[in-house]
Amino acid sequence: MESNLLQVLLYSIFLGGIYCIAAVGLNLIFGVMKVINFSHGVLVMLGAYFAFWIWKFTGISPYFSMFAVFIILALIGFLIYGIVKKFEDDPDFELLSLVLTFGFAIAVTNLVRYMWTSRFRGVFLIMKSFEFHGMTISTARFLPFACGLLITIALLVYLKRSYVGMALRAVSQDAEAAQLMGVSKTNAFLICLGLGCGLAGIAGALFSTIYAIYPEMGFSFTLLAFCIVVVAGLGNFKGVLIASFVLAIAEGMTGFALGSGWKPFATYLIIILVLIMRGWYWRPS
Amino acid sequence: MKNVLSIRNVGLLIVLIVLVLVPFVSSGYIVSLIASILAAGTLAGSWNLISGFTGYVSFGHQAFFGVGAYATAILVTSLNLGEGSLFYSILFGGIASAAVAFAFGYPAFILRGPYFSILTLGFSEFLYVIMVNTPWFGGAEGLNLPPVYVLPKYYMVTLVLFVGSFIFLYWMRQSRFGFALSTIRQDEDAAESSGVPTLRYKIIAFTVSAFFPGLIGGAYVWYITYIDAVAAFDPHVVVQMIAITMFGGLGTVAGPMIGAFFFVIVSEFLWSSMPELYLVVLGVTIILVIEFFPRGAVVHAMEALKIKVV
Repeated sequence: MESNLLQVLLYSIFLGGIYCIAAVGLNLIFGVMKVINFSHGVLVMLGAYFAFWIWKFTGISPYFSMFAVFIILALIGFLIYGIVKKFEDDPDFELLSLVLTFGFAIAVTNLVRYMWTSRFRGVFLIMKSFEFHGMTISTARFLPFACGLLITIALLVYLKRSYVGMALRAVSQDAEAAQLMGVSKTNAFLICLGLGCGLAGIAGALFSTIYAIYPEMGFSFTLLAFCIVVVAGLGNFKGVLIASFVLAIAEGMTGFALGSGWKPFATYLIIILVLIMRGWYWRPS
Repeated sequence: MKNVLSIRNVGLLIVLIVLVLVPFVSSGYIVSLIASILAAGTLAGSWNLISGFTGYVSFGHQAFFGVGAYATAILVTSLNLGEGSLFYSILFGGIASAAVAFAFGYPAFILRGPYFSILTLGFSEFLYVIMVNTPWFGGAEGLNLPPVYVLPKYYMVTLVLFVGSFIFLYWMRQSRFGFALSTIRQDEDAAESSGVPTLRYKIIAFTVSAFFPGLIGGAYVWYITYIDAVAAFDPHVVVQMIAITMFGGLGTVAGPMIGAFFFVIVSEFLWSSMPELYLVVLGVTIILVIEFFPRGAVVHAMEALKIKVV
């Protein structure tokens, strides 16, 4: 029983590494563009499918093909920018972009279901597992976690140190002032959508190596990623790192204690409580 | 009062008379099709009240449809009621849904913008997880109602709700209340500092916008005599509300009501001709309508025909 619990805890932490990449991308897009990318989870799903098909037809493992997936998804990110671009200066930009990406998500989910059916699919990689203090740790589960953590930390350092990172932060703080200082808003938006959506694709590619993928998984990923961003706080990338593990553990533990049907319960309870608490503290007195 | 017999009023009266006469003259298919148009129009109108007029986009409005449906179903199955209780049980569904919205509204409306949208969606999914996992609510199998043929009554309920929500929205638009809602949409801080009790008005608007979907949910559950969590909390319900409102015109009274007519006819056609691609086309339609008619296709058409947009 106890070792089971530890095993669940460990695998939840491993899953947290994948959540992390997905949420970091969403946080980047939301922080800089103030756009709710409602199709974010759908992009994770697309990334998973692309990685799966590449593996199916060429046998290339998702750990290598994820770079190609990153580029494909970045291009889809540019497409999303093309969709929302028209309303950039509209006072209702937030609302319209929300509904536009929502429409995009529905169209893509159902297109995938139509083309590739609702069957559960997955990439099967044969890897060794090793023993650690009585727990079996499979390399197949550990690797995505390691990749996710590495990529997230690399992104954090990049955004902190590089000129691009500084420009993105400038646009996020005050787009007009940044433009006056010679930062192109369009380029900043393109970079952050490209990066954010590409990272969603990587998250999907890594996810496909451990879990079953299906067209409807995007929806719960969107909620989950948004939940992490909300718990972490806008533009707070270190918070994303912590929040994704907290959520993954909460989810795993709920599933362990109450049965897997209750798994999403923890996520939604946390999202409701955190949002309400946030609202409470932000309340103008 | 000289405009009582204007072309618009006479036209509306004729439409109303035709709608009342439909169940007496046409086939069951036409009646159920028009009933679903009326239901969709009512749902879209209610969504429009909170999201179009007040500017708070709700992505979880299917929750109120679901709560209404479940409340009605639980009342009927637990008390073993028959067909005679139809109207009371539907009303019970509406009141339950409004009560949930009222209780949820207070903590929710401290949030603004996208946070509110995500909270509503999270709330709906939260209810779904509870419903699908709790045996008392029928679990994943759902609840069965007495199998009675209620199509004419269902039609009448949807017609009354359609007309009722239309009149309510029309009244609200010109009232002080509706004006206050539009100030909230334009600039909430300015509205609040000018003395508009924004939180109270938002909660009232939200409660009313949950009341109608609750009633529709209650009527729907009588009509299909069965409810489960997947059907009750289906996000496609809210997708439909959004699509119709965007197609008709955000923040207008007539837009979603007329939009529902075209929308349901078109989706009925798509549904029957290519069921797998139906939602793909729906998603693309939402995008295209917003790209080309950001204020709503019906509104653009009405302006082109020089009809006053309400």
